[in-house]
Amino acid sequence: MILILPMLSFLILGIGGKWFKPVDAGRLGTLSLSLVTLLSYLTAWFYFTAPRTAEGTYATLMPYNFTWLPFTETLHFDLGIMLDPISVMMLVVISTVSLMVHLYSFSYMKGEKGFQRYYAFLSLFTMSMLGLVVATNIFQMYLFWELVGVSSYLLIGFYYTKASAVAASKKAFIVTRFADLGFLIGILLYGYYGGTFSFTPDAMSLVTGGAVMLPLALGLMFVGGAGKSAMFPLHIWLPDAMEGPTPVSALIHAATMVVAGVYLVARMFPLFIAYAPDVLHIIGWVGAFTAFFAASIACVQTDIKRVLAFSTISQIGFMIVALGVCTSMNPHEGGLGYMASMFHLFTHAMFKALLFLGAGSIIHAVHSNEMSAMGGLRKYMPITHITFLIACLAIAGIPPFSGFFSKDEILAACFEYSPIMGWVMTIIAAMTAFYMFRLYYGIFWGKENKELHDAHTPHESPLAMTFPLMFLAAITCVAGFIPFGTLVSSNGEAYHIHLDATVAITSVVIAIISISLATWIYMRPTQPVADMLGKRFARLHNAASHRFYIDEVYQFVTHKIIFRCISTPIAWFDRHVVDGFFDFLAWGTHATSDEIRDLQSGQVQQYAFVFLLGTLALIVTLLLTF
Amino acid sequence: MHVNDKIMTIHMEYYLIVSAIMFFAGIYGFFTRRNTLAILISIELILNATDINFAVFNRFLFPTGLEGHFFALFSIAISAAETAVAIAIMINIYRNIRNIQVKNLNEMKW
Amino acid sequence: MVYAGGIVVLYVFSILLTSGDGDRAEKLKRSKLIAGLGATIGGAAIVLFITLTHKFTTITDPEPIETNIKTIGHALLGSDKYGYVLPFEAVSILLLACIVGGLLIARKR
Repeated sequence: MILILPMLSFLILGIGGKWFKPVDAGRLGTLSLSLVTLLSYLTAWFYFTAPRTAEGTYATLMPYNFTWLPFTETLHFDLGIMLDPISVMMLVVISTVSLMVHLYSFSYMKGEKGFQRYYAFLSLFTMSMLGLVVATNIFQMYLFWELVGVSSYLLIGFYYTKASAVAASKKAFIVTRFADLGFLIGILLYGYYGGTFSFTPDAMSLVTGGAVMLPLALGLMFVGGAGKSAMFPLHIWLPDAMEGPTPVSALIHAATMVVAGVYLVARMFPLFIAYAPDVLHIIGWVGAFTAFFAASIACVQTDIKRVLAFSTISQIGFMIVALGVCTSMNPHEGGLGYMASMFHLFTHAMFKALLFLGAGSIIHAVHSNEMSAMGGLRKYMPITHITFLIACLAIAGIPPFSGFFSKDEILAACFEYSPIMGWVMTIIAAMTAFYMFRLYYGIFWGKENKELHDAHTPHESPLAMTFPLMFLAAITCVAGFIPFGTLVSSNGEAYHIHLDATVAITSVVIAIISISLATWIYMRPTQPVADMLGKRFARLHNAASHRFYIDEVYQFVTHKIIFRCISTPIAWFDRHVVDGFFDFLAWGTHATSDEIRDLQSGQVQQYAFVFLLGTLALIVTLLLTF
Repeated sequence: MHVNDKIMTIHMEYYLIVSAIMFFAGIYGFFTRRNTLAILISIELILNATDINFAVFNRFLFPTGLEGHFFALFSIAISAAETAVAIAIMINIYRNIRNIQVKNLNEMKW
Repeated sequence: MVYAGGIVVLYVFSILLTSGDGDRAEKLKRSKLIAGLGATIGGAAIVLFITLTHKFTTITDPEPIETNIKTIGHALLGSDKYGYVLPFEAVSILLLACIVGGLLIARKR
């Protein structure tokens, strides 16, 4: 039911959208989605309050599971719905954020052309994401993975008349598709060597040599996840994807699609622990590097959405690191990261969506993305101001907001694994606090852009936009107190979160230091310290604001190397050899038919000649065979 | 009539050689002549060659029967009739295109 | 009789009738000559080969049929099992048709 409703809504809006008035389309989309949200809340309620099984874990329910393509007895593609703690949690997250985005878009996208198309695509996206999280086996997940990719392509390129939007959507699709190649190979390897496509390791029948190939398979699958979750070096699509409408960025890039990779690793977590723990640790380091990389770029960006995009990349790095530092399934000795990662996913979805929607509200007010057009907005937009501030505090990890709890758990897990990792992540957390507050001060304090404000006074956004902001802010405040560990943990047992005092105090202290640094540098109207720092480290600053030239590297590789050396010969081959072959066939047929046509000359003597020759040939044949 | 072993009778093969030569002479004429009437004459040759064959086979292989001879007889009669009709057609064509060369008679082509 | 009286006269007259204008036959094309010769000689070779290598079993029969005219006449017009009256009549009808057809085709407009 949960899946069918958005699918229906997509179909109705997609096909009949032209005849709807825009308002009706929006209402239909929002209505179907509120039903979905309600259903997912009910599901979560029933699931988590149901009695546990004998070992004290939550049962993994499979209400529907039918075999779609059977290969052998154990190897078959299934389609179905699986409910287990993380999938139910994801259902709640996805439907909540999606509902907020639907409500928000009501007034954000008012007057835009293609309103119905927008809601249709939103429904499609929600459906694909929901399908992804309830997948029973990896192949179904891949199916919905691709669907998510397609719908994100459609949504990012929503303003299809803008060339940069089209290019960005193409880039997103191509990069994630390229990563999905690795994913697919990983799936195939896993299916072949593991003997099954499902997620539970005890259902596996290993082919010989399987134990060696499995880490490779799992690593390749992670490559797919890395593409979707924008790990280095496949992160290039995410900042460009900000060309889409801001609510789309909230939905896709804050809350749902980018966490698909994290979800994948979490799903395969038992397999990782059992067969490839080293790969898991490598994944953790990749995540850490990405987090650091993105955080450093975010410190110097001037476009709001780009800052938030890099912040997203960084936070996802956090989640991946949390998964990567796990060494066993038992949460008490090393499996803490699993629970921490999921918890951070949950809270991050809420406050990142809040940040994006708030950014959208600001952009709506000043009609520009650049921070230079903003400044001093706290006088004009109180609600946005407060909610944005709440979200910034949450992401910086200040108690009692939810971000503190989840980030704290991650740091605790990192310290358990290795002190180096722990300190690296703490530094990154400090950078997070720093750039978020730089952004905050740049928008709401600082120098006002007087000319712009005189032309068009910024105003607070209408209720449809502020309601989601307030709702999400409320969640951000209280989510920290949800006893997450009792619901989701690596082996399903209830795990009560206890705050490790040293880690908690360290992180809070460092966060406060960063915030004060940001305040000191950025709060006043003029920023002498920032300018001086910018001049002193000019090269670094330049490199960072050009995102360390990674895009240029890609450009170079694809254009000079791939296009010139690989694509051009292939194109030549296609045009000349393949087409040439068919042209030759056609020419041959033509010439042959011309020759044969001459046989019908109307000359009796020629006919008789041929007749005689045929008869003689027949006689000779008979002679020779008898 | 008794078959006389002392006198050299003509063996069957020689008759067949003659009829084969006639047959292929007719074929050569059929391919090579431009005048349609000459082609018809060649056809006559071919038909006559086959008549010889029938008579020869009847005489040497089945002396007790007369089928081959009658076949040859009827064949002669029919080829005469066919020749008459063909010549009538040729005269009609001559009236229309004033020419008897066979290369002009190529209407039934593509 | 048939040939000397009928066919040859027919041909001679038709050639005379259709020859007019004093036209000269064009020279035979080389390709046609070679094709004709080749086919002819090849065919002759094959046929002669078959004919001469085949062992014809000539029946030395004790009792050949007397082939005098009386026998032929009886056989030609006899309606018993080996009588040829039916083909005889059919051929006569054919000759009739040919006469009529020839008249029709070649009549003056």
